[in-house]
Parts: sequence; structure tokens; C-alpha cells
Amino acid sequence: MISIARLAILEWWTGKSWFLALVALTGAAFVAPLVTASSIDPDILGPARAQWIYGAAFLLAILYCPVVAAELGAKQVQRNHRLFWRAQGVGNVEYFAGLVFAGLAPAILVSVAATIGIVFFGISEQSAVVKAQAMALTFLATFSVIPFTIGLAQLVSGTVAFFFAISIELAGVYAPPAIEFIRQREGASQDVRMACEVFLTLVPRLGLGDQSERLTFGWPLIPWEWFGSAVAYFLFVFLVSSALGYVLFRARRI
Amino acid sequence: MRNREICVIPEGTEISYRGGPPVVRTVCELTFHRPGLTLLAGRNGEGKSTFMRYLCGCQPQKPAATAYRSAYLPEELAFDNGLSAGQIAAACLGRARKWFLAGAALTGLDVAKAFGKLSKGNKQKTRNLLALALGREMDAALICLDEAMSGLDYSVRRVFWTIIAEEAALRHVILSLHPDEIYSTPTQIITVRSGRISLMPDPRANWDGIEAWLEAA
Repeated sequence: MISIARLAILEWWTGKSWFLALVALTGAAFVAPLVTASSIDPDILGPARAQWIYGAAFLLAILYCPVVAAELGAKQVQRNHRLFWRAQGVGNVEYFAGLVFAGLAPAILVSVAATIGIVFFGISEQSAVVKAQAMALTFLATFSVIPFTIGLAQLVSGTVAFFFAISIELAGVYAPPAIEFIRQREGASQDVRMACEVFLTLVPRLGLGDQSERLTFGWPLIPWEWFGSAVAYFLFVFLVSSALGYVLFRARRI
Repeated sequence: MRNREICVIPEGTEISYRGGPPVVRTVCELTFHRPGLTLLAGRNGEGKSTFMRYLCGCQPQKPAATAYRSAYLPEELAFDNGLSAGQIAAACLGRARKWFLAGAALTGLDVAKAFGKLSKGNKQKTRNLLALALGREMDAALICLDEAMSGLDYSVRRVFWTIIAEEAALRHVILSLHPDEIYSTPTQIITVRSGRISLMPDPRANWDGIEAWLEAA
């Protein structure tokens, strides 16, 4: 497992795509003052910077991390690594766990970099704990799709796996409020209500991870019991995603 | 080293892919001992790789004794173009890394050069050394090398024959290859022809003898 994870992380590192992530985060911190009317209102600079950095971090979380996971999964098939490792007696659980760890490592590094960016360049009045709390929720929401994406990439191409991952993330973030709106508007129709209920039950509530307003408007700390519940919920989604991903991973024998 | 039996493949064993018809079938009983060296000869697409995968437990059917450890070098194993052979070894190997580096020095492999920039032969050296080193690391009873001599120049082939012969003194090495100079006397020669896996009566046969046996099979 360690060898598999080490090799995959090394491949990501030498691929240097992390450089783009770093450029996006640092670029956001430097672009924000240039596009903000801080000469008229200097107080706007902190929220604008926080908004830009968080926007970059959110895009990286929702786009970059699933790309890395999909690519990592697809490479195992394309490069004959599945056959290579399986022939050495590496079991499915061990292999899948190694890949999930390798998929999480880049996401963790990006989330740490984004948190450092927010802490140093965000709203100065907001405490570092609030910022770290918000960033933790943002990235935990993203982490949940990584095992599923790796599993899916064993059966379909990396592009298709990425498409599914981003669809789940976008649906998880933006669909529940939209469905709620439809449910209220179409309250008289039993069929529409039923469809809304089913969708709302199935879709993971990744919108909990969208902390843009908290960081832009300097909202206070999330109560720890609420934060703990959100973390527990994301861990549950991660477990479900891992179980689904493992089933897909096993579905391809070599 | 004491001669130990690794596995016995009974006559009539059929190997197929999931739900498909048999790809290959043994027409005699095959036994693999540790130490030992088997040459696996046959034309393209006749089932040599399928037989190797079977021995390593990667086919839906598995040999009766699957408790043995195996290492397998697939023909098209690839790595990220940006990784060097040294980095690949560092990621995949533990204590056998030293052996890998010694093998690289012996075969003239530049361990600092990116895998994507290596020639076909040097890529093959990386794969061969990695498979053999992994076999050492896990003390595998069986190492299967698929087309291990492909792309290597004549002098490196000689070096690899020496390395393989050394390994074959510790474990069983199965080597699939096409007409080549055979620098070590194998324990046995197995041929695959039209889906029939058979054992050549004379393990000292040269390529003309193997060719004649394949034609007659």
C-alpha cells in the first residue's frame, strides 16, 4: 500500500500540476487589490482579497482535486499497474486504500496552502480559527468524491470519471436549494414533490462546504457542535463514496 | 538451496478470461520447482502472457497452490514520463533498492534520467530490474518476466542472462522470449502453440530445436 501511494504521489509531484494550483492561489491574492476600488473605500480590500482567494480555493477544490483523482485512477489501467501490483499479491483493499491516500494527499496539500492564503490575506478582523474552520468544511466536502472518482476511473476514462465527480459536486452544492424552490412552487403536484423528495434524499449536501459568505463578510465562528455535525456528515459521505468506489474498483478484475 | 516444489499444473488445465472460451490448455503436467528457470516460447498472441498471469493468480482460474509469492513483469508496464528510474525504485522498493541500483550500474542504466526520455531498451532495463528487485524484496517463489529481452542490445542481454541465472538459483524464473541466444541452460522449456501448452523433452534445445518443436506441435 505504501509503495502504491508513494509512487502515485511522486507521479503527481513530478507532473507539476500543483504549480498551477499555487499560481491560482497566489495570483488571487495579488489580483484582488488591482480590481477593487480600495482607493475609495480601503475597508473593502480585506473582504475582496478573501473573496478572490476563497474563489480560487473553491474552484481548485471542485475542479482540480477531482481531476487529480480521476487521472490517478485512470493511469492504473492505462499503464498496466493493476496487473503489475495484483501479480505481486497486493489485495483489492490494500490497493484501493493506497490510491485513495494518494488522491487525498494533493487535496490536503492544496487545502493547507489555501488555508494559509486565507489566514494571511483574508479579513484581518476575522480570527484564524474561523478561517481554518471554514476552509476545513470546504475541502472536506470535496474529499468525499475522491474515492468514488478513483473507483469509477477503473471502468471508464479519466475524463468521464472527472465529469461524474464534478456533476456530483455541483449537484451537491447547488441542487438542494434549487430543488427546494421547485418543491415549494410545485407543492400541489404529488409527482413533482415525490421526485424532489427522492432527489433531496440521494444528493449529498455538499453546499455545507460553501463558506464564501462567512469568509467574505467576516461572520463569526461556527458553533463547535454544528461544526462537529458537519464534519461527521462529510465523513459519512466519504464512507459511502469509499464503499461505492471500492465496488467499482473491484468490478474491474485487472 | 534445497529444491522445493512451487506448484503443479495438471494436464488438461484450461485457462480462459471471465466467461470466455479457453485461451490455452495444458497438454501435459507442468511442475515448477524452486530454484529453476523456465523458458516460455511461442508466437505472438498464442497465450504466453495468459499463462504467466495464470501462474501469478491474475486469471479467473488460479493454480491449486496459490500460497506462493510471485512477481510479474507485464509487457507494457509504463511509468510517468517525468519520473526517473531512481525515483521509481525509491517509491516501489525498500531494502531491494540497493540491489536495483547495483543492477542499473551493471546494465548501464542512468537512474537520474526521466523515464520518458529513456530509450526503449533502457525502459526495458528499468522494468526488468524493478520486477526482479520486487521479487527479491518479497522473497517471491516465482518471477515471471514477459518479453524481458525485448529492445535490449546484445551486450545487455548477456548481462541480464547472468542476473536472471543468479535469481534462478534462488527462486523460479519464467522468461518468455522470442528467438534469442540462450546463455543459460534452463530447467525446462515450455512452448505455447495454438492454445496448447506443452513441455519440450530436451531443456538444452537451441532455437532451431524449439522452432521445430513449435512447428510439430
